Amino acid sequence: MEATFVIDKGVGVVTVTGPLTAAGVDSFREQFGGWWQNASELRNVVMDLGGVEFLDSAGLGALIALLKRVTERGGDLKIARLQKKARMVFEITRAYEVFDILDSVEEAVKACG
Amino acid sequence: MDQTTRTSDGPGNALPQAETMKGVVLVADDDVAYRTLMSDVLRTGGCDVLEAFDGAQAVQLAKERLPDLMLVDVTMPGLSGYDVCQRLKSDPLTRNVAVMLVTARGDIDDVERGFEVGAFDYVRKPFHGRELMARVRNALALKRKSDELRAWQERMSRELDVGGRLQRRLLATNPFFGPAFEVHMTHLPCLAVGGDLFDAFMLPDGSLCLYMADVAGHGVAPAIVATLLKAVVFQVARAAHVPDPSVICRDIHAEFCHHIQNPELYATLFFAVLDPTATRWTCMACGHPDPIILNTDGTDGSAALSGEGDVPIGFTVRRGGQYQAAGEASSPAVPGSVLFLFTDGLLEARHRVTSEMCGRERLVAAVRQSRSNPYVANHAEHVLEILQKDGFDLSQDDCSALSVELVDPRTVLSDSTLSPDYDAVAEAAARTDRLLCAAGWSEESAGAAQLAIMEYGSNIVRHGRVPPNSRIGLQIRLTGPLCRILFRDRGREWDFAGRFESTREAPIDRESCRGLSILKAVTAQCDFFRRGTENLGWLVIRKDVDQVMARKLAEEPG
Repeated sequence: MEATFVIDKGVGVVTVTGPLTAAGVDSFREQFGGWWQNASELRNVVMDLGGVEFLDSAGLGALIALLKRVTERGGDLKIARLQKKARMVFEITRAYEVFDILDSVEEAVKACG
Repeated sequence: MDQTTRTSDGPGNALPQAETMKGVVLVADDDVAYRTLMSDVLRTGGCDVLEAFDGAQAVQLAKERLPDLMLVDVTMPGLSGYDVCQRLKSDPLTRNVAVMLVTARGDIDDVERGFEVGAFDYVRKPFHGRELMARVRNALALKRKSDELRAWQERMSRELDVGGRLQRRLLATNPFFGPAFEVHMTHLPCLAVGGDLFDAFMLPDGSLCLYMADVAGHGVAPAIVATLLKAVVFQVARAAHVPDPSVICRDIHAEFCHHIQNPELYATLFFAVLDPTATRWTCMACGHPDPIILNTDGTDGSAALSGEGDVPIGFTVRRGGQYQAAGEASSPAVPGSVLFLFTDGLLEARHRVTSEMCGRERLVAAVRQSRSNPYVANHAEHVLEILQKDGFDLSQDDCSALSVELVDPRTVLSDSTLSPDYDAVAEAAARTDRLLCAAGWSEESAGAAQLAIMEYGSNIVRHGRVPPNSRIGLQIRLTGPLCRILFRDRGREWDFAGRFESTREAPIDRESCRGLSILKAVTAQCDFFRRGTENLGWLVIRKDVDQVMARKLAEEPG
């Protein structure tokens, strides 16, 4: 699993590629933590999960933890390009009630205002 | 005789029933003269005496020495006799120490107060030595009886508890898995636990042993006999040099008769052995109904395993010649076939409306119906469901069933062991996804299986405390529209089923429940149990789980 971080129109965009599961979740959280600390002016984040073909409860847990960090700063975390298998997990756990899920990164960035 | 001032019968007078004065008595009185006097009387009577000079010391000594009885003066400086009594009664440690209050006072309020704080009896000063001893003797005798009763109650309670747990273990209906077979068991007791008995286990040489037995009668005696029989069967089978059913049955019969010399107690038994290559059944029917064998084409192959058999275990009507090899039956074990054992409660079940008996033919039809349903893995349970749905009353007798499916090796997608880490689990999960897609499963359904493996496997890695040099077993089978996943690990024992049940109302952000909720949602069946030192997780995923989940989502409000 790989993750990159860019800033687009004042919004942090994290692009994740590969499975987001118990097998790689710890390093992902650490990585994000580093970015988030360095980008102290940022409030909002978009998670581009277009490259995440598989997600489990640990992966969802990581997203929830990241959502909490972002909302602590008064911002929001939106999900973009959720794939089939990951969507299944969101539906089972009703995570769609907690996250905004949009079809593209552009839409998600715009929605961050 | 002067009754008011005499305090002793004097030395030299033998006291009646001196042996019943044995016990430890604590005398508490701040007046040294009375204390000494009471102690002397009691010692003469045969008691061991402890002395306390005030209330506080009395309480302390009582906690340390737990006397059988205490004689406590009511008026003492500091803690009064009432206070002492109250403290002792409120402490679980000293609650059962009997306290007799000693006092010069005697109006009804004092007496009442004494009993209210838990005193056992009252002695007035000045006391007659014989009266004191009579009361103490009485108190000690009652204490002894009370202690005996309590000990008996505790023992009975423990034994009933053990008995109850034993009975539950006896009829544990966890499935049993081997590389070449899958065994399911079910039991419907009629009222209380009776004498049905069944089990499956491996022999040291790699043979599979299974049996179904029915102890005659209902109630406690057959239940106890069933417990004994289970131990005997296991012991005898495991100790057999060669796993010949006739020899094993003969030895079981001998052991049974050795322990139980009551001709009214006997048990029908069907004993079957599957050889280590899983290609041949050999069995012995001891007064028990022959099993049903369903061939892969659905035809009834039971005749192949119908042998002469012999009399029930514990029957002593014939002399010699019992349980010979000639009474055995043997037939090839064909992959994909099903062996079905049962007790006569099923055969003799009556239809609620027509009152006709179920009978063997109907039972065969039910097994066939269960077998032909591609969504059924537990035929033992499903056959009982079919009979009940067809209107048969299974509540008049214990009903037990055991089904063995011989695994068709072509159905095994994968059978491997994993090291207990997340990467290995993720790889196995991804591999299963690819295999199922290749077998024509949809992306979502194959993804559901991948998710189930990832969630359960991660749970073992995270919480199972699997020893580092031990591996996790994982078998994936594909039978028609069912993907059957079997996990084995040698980690710690834990209440998986209990935690699973608690996920019902769990909010999304509780990490511990998220994974289990997902498992529940994607599996058609999810069983966790322990055999010996091994944890087993059995997950069944349906090929149409994508549609099942889509329907569920559509039905949800909002």
